[in-house]
Amino acid sequence: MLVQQLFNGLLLGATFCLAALGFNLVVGAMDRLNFSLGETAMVSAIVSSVLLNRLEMPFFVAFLASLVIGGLLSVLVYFVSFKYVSRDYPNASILSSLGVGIVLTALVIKIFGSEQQVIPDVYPGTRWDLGPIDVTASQLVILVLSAALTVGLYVFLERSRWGTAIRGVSDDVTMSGLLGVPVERVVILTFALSGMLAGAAGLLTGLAFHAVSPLDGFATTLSALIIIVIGGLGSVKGAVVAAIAVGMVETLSVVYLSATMRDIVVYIVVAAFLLFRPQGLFGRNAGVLERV
Amino acid sequence: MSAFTEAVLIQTGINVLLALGYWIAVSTGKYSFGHAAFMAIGAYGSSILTLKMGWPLPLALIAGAVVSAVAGALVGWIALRLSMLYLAIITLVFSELLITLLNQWDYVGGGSGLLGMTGTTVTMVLICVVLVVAYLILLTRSRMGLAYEAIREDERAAMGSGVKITLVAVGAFATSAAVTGIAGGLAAHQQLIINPGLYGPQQSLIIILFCVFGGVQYFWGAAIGAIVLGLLPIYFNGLADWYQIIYGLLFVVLMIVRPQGLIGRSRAGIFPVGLSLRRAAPEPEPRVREEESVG
Amino acid sequence: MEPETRTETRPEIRDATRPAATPGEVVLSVQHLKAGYGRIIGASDISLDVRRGELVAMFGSNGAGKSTVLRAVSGMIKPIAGTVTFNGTDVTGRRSDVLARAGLHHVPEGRRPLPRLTVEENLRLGGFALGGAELHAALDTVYDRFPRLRDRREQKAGTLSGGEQQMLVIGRAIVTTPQILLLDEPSLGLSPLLVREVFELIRGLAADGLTVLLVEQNVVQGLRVADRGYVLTTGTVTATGTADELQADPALLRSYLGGPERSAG
Repeated sequence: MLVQQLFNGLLLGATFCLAALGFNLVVGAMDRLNFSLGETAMVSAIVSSVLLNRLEMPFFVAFLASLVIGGLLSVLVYFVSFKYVSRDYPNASILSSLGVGIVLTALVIKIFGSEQQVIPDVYPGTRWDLGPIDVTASQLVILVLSAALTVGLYVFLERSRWGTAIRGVSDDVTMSGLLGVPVERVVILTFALSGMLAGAAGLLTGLAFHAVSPLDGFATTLSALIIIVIGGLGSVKGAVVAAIAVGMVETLSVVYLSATMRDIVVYIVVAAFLLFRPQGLFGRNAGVLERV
Repeated sequence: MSAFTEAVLIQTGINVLLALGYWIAVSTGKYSFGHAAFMAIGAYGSSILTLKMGWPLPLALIAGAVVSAVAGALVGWIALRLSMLYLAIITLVFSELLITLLNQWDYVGGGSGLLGMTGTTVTMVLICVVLVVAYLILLTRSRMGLAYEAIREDERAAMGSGVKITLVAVGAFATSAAVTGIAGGLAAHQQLIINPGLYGPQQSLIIILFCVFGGVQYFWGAAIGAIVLGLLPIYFNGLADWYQIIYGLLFVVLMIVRPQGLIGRSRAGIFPVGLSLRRAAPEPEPRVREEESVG
Repeated sequence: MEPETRTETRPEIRDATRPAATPGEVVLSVQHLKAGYGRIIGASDISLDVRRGELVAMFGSNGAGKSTVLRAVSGMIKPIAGTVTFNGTDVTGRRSDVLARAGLHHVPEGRRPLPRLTVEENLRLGGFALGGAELHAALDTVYDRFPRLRDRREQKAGTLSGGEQQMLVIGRAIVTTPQILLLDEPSLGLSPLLVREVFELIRGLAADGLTVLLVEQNVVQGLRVADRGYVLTTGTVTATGTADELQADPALLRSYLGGPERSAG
């Protein structure tokens, strides 16, 4: 029983992980936060659900669509909330992207209504009995795709030319420019990747819960921020570890305590980190004023 | 005075209080994203006192403000050492936590909330506004006001110059929370009904918009912005459906065109310049280390 | 991110791979440059030239405007007034990465290695425009010049010592051969022995034909490697001449730079 719950927690964590990675990328590139990523995930999921339900597309198509939509939306947000917003006002991009999030949510409600949209199971009825764990086809899909995207991102960042450029820009954008790295293109790439991750996160989360609601945006953002705080800003490893840990803590809390306690437990953990270890588990710089 | 005019005046006054309250925190450079939590504390605090313990409204409001101030001081103290990003996160989390707790607290009706608070009058709102405005006029002319500005412009320099940063910043946040709490209490006793869902991130964003729309440089700019924004939905009634979209677009357009708000110089001195979101430290210093000779 | 304000009507910056036309032609020309940060105007009226193959040094005490000039030239800050001409093209206010790809390489003050990246990755980004084999060859050339970097190629740049970082950032700037190299205070914070090593390196680069604009507080070393120099005081050029001329007039330098104790090493 416990093992099954841990597995469920792992699954939940997998869905958090992608969104958190998406956020991390943008913070790295721009030193600002794209607060509309949660809504981006939601929009991708809603559109995917339309593809799956009304157009009866295979899941794979919906998955690709979620990547594309997420990526495009995110790049759009770059232009609207970041590029043309003066860097002199550090909070302006946060506020602007929050505004975009609000607009996205309202538009979705206008177009699709405010009820939840269903994400149907992949290969419904297929399950495997692996000893103490029961795995459905959908769950396997979630795990495999999350893992693939996470590993893919890691490899891309570490091994490819553009991935290295993204890391360089994240370290020191001015210096990267002085080296001749095409900074704007790198940033757009970063936003695109971030959006793709968010899109996938939206769809996979919808698959996990079999539903996606237009109001999910903020909850996704909040979860991702919590993961980032615990895992550490800018750390892929941290995001993965924190996501899995939080996924498990949440699942176990619901099972052994109650749904409400789940939230409270998580908030208290976050608060503890913010107070005592603001750089998170693997963060490379603290969110804290350094008193020199 | 018709009931309608009364309601409009009260609502406008409350909006002004929200904007001014937020402005106090902003003037030290601290941007909270969960300020609705202080509204909630003020609302619930004062409502409990009037409904369950029969207190007169003015006293209940003050008590609510005090509790908000304490919460604000706590958040302010924590915020002191955090970069803007982490401040955003922690204030968001704090407000979410509060809502979750309120939803569970049966004494205040849990998710359904409280019902039956009345008593807000135009006079009351007016007095509060006048008091806050007077306070702000004095503040901006005082040494305390200069201290706020110092903290906003360059926190580290302010630390060095002997400004008792901790006290000042925490005090600012506490005051901000108190004013917001009063606004919350007044609103609660106007609306008759409150529930935790009213004080979520949407409301926090509205508070921020009210403040920054008019202009962050002068407190009266923020107040004017709040008045304008608050009156828009009333006089453009047909757009009810579109409010969310309009508010969202307003944020987006405003941040591109005039991020400092409508009133105020377009000078990057209003927000802390160059303060990194992730770290408050400046660009890496050259690493100086003594070397042995070369091979 | 500054909005990209340049349109396609601006003249193309000359290709960095095209060989130098005439020895002695002016590579970089700065005319009446005015630039600063916020309310502080570092450079109020600076004019200078650098010809191909020259090593030109800028001297001056802190706040004289030397670094400001480099920053305004390379696009780190936008000039308030004046023009910057590079290889005959007006490049005033153009973006750093565009200029860098055209051959204007700036090694800024404070070294600024990309700390989380390894030495090798730093160098690779320096050669971002190059493809596989070309990049490999270019990296080899840099490692030949800086053998210690080769030893540390997988090490994270943030963990290097000051001297090694200086080697790295200069090496990084020459992975692709620059049309002009802007060096800002390369000896800052280094021990006397390292300072000498760095200047040997710079002299070697100049001997290889590299065009260099150097900012230095270390007047003695600076004059040793420079062909010509400019002396800056509070934002303007107050003296100029060949290295010999400047060296021969100690009173000139002393009055602007505050005395012999300024020179180190």
